[in-house]
Amino acid sequence: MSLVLSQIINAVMLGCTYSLVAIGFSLFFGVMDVVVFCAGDVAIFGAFSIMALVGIVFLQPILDAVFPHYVTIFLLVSLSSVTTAFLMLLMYRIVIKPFEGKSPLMPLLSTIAAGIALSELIGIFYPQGRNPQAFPQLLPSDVMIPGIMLSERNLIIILATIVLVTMLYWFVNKTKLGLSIQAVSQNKEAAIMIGINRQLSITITFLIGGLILGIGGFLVASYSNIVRFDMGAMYGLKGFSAAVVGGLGSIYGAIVGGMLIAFIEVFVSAFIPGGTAYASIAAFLVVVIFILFRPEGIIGEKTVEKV
Amino acid sequence: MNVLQTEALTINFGGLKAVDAVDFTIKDEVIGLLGPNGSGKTTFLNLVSGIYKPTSGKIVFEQADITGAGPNVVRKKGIARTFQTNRLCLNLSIIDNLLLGLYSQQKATWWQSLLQPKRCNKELIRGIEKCLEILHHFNPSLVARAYEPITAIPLIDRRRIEIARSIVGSPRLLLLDEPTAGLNAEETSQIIGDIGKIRNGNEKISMIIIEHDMVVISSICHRVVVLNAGKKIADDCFSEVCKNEQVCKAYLGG
Amino acid sequence: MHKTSLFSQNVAISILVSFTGCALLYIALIGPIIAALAVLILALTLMVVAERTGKVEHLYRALACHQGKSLTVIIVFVLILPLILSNNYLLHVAVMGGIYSIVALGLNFQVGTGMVNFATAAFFGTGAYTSALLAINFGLSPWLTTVFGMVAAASLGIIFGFPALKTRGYYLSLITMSLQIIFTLMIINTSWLGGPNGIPNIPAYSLGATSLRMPIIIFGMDFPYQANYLYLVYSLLGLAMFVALRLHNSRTGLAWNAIEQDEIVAITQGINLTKSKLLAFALGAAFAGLAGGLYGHYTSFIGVEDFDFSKSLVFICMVLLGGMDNPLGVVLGALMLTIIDEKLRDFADYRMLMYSVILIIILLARPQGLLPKRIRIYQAAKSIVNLKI
Repeated sequence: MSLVLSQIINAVMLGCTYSLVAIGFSLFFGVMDVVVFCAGDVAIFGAFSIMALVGIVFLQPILDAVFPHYVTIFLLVSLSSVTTAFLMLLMYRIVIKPFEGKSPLMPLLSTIAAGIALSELIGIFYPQGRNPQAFPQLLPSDVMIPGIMLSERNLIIILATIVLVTMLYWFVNKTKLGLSIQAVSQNKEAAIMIGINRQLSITITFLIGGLILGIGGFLVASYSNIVRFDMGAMYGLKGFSAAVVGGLGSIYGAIVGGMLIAFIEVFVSAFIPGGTAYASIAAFLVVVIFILFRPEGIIGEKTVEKV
Repeated sequence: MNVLQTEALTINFGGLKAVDAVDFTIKDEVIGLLGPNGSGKTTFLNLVSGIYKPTSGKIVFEQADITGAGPNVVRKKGIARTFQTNRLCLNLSIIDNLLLGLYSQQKATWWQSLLQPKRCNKELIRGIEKCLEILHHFNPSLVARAYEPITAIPLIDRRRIEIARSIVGSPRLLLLDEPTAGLNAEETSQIIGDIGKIRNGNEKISMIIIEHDMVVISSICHRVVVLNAGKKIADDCFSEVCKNEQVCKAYLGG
Repeated sequence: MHKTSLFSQNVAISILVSFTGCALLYIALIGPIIAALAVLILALTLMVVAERTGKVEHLYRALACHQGKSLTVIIVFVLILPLILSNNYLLHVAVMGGIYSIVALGLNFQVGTGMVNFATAAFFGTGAYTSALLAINFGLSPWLTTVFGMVAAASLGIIFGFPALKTRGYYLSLITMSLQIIFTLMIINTSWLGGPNGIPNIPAYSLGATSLRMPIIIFGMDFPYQANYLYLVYSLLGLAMFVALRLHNSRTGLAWNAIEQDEIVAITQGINLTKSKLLAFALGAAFAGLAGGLYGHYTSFIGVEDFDFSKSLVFICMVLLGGMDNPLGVVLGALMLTIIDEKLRDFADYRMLMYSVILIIILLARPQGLLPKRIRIYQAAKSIVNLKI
C-alpha cells in the first residue's frame, strides 16, 4: 500500500514539473499558434543558472547569512526565472517573430535549432558542462513532515506548482492584461480591431512563460537531483506531448496532460518488470494514440474546417 | 431521366439541421439554388459532392446510390464543383491546375510512370491539349502563359481557371458555388457568357448554381430552388418564385 | 545562323554549369571547413544573382535541353573521383554523401506532399538493421538482404504513415517524432537488435568471388575499396534520381503537390488522399531503407546513434538547405551538408552548435533553399505549339 502511495507521490511531483513546461507550450501556442520547441532547454537553462549562482558566484552563502533559508531559495529562483523570462523573449525575437505569417514548418525547425544551440552553449561554457551535474540540495529532501508521507521537498514542489497555477489563473482571467492575452489567442484580428495591443500581449506572454519555465527547471532539477545539459530536449518533448494530450492552448489541459504522462511513466517503471526502459515508450505511445483518436486533447474543443 | 436526385436529404450538426429533408431533382438543365445566408445552400453542395456525410436521406446520381461516398469517389463518378473561396493551387502553374481537373479521368499509376513512360506521356499530352483547348475557350490570351503561376493572373481569370478545371474532366453535373462573388458587373456578364458557352458546347453538363446575383440567375437558370433554414420552400421557374410569398418572407422578413 | 549559335551557347552553358557544380563540390570536399562554408555561400550568392537578373530561367532551359551532356560531365567526375582525391577518408565522405542523398530524395517525397517526417532515421535504420541481421544470422547474400531491408522499411513507412494520414502540420510532426523516439528506445532495449552496443561484422557486398571490401585494380591502377562503394552508391543514386524526377513530373507527383497545397482541392479532383500519402511514405521509406542497407554493408558496423532523432533532423536540414520538392536541390543539399558535417568533426565540441546556427541562418535568410521549387515544365509536351516553354 505504501509502495503505491509513494509512487503516486512520485508521479504527482513529476507531473508538476511536466505540467509547468506544458503550460509554457500552451501559452505560447495559444497566443501565437506556434510550437516553441526550445522551451525545455530554456527550463534547463534556468536550473543551470541557479547552479551558477550557487556554485560559481557563491551567492547562496551570502544570502543565507542575511536571510532565512527559504527567502534565499526564493531570491535565487526569482533571479534565475527573471533570466529565463528575458531569455524566452530573446528567443521570440530571434527565431519566432521573423517567421510570423509564414509556413509553420519554419518556427518549428528554428525553435528546435535554437534549443539545440542553447543546450550546446551550456555544455561548452559551463565548467564541465558536458558531464552530469549534481544539483545543489536547496530543498532538504530528508526532512519529513510529520503526519503525512511527504518530504519537505515534495511538499514545496507541489505547493509551488499550485501557487503558480493559481496566480496564472488569476492573471489570465481577472486582469485586463491577462484577458487581452486570451482575446489575442482566440481571435487575432478581432482583438486588434478593438484596440488590444497585440505586440504587448505577446511580449508579456513570453515573459510569463519564460518565468514559469525557469521555475519548472528548478523543480525538475530538485526532483531528479542531477542535471545534464541535454536534458532539455526530452523534457521539452514530454512537456509538449503533455500539452497536446491535455489540449494545446489550455492551461488546465496542460496540467491534466502533465499528470497523465507522469503517472504512466512512473507506474510502468514501478510495476511492470523491466519497466524502467519502457516507461518513456509507454508515454509516447499514449501520445500517439491521443493524437490519432482525440487530437484536440482531453480538454480541447474540436474545430471543424469550413469548406 | 434524372441526373441527380436527393430524397429527404438531411444533415444534423449537433442539433442544428443545416439541411432538412430536402427532395431535389435535376435533369439536363441549369438550376439556381437560392436562399438567405445560412439557409444551407453550400452545405447542400457539400453533401452532394461528398464532403459531408448526410445524417439521413439518399443521394442518387445517374441511377446509382452515392449516399455517403467520399469526395474523390463522387468526382470519379462525374460530379465536379467549384468553391466560394476560389480554391486553386497557388504555387502551381495554370496548366498544372487545369491538369488536376483531368486527374479523375486519367489512369497513369506511379509504377506505370516509371515502367511505361511512353504510354503515360501519351496520356499527358492528350490531357495538356484538352486543357489548352478549354483554356482557349475561356481566355485565349492565357494559353501562351500556361506555365505562369496562378499568382500572376487577376481574380476573374482565376475564377475562370477554377471553372475550367471543373469541366475539363467532362463531368455530368457541375456545382458552382457563387461563381460571381467579388466580381464587378462587367466581369459578371463575362462569367455568364462563359457559363453559357459551356452549356452550348458539345458535352451535356447539368449545373446547380448558388448565386445571390439575380441577373445571373434569371439569365441562365431554367429553374430555381429556394432553401430557408435548411428546408426547401420553393421549386419553380424564376418568375413564379419571385411571386412566392414564402420566398419573399424568407428574404425580406415577416 | 542565329539558331546554331543559341544551340552551341546552351551546350556551353549546360557543360559549364555541371562542371562548376562538380568543381565546387570538389573544393568543398578537399578543403578545410572554411572552404566548404565559402562554397556554400558562393553557391547561394550565385543563385540569388541569377534569380535577380532573370538569368536563372535561361540556365534551367539550357540544362533541360542538354541533359545528356550535363550528365556526361557528372558521370566522368564520379568515375575519376578516386584518382583525384588524395586520401581514402575523403573518398569515404563522398560515399556517405551519396548514401545520404538517397535518403534525402526519399524524404523529399513526403515533404513535397506537405508531410514533414521526423522519423526518416527510423526508416534508414530499419533498412540497415534488417539487412545486417538477415545477412549475419541467415547467411543470405547482402544484395538480397538489402532488398529485404527496403521492403521492411517500406512496410514500416506504411505503418507510420497510417497515423500520419489523419493529421496535419504539428500533429504529424509530433507523431513522427514520437515514433522515431519509440524506435530508438526499442532498439536500445532489445538485445537481439544489438542493444546499445550495435551490430558489428556486417558482411560486405560481393560480385561473384570478389568482395567489394577489397581494393581493386583497374587499368593497372590501385583503387581503394571505397571506390567500389562509390561507384555502387552513385549508380543507385542515379537510379533514385531518375525515379524521383519521373514521379515528380507524373500524375502522381501532381497529386502530391496538390495535397501539399490544399487537401480539399486534391480530394475534390478525385485524388485518394490515403493512397497518395501512404505511397509517399512507403516510397520515401524504401529509399531510406535502401540507403540503410548500403550503409550497413559499407561500414560493417551499425549502432543506434546512427539512427536517432538528431539524424532525422539532419535529413530534414538537407532537404531544407537544398530546396524542398526539388530533387536536384535535395541531392546538392545532402552532399553539402555531409561534407560540412564531416569537416565539423574536427570541432567536435562545437559541431552541433554550428549545425543549429547554420540551420537558423538558412531559415532566416533563404528558406526556399539553394534550388527553390520549380514550376513543372513538361518536356514530353515540347511539341505542342501553344505550350511555349
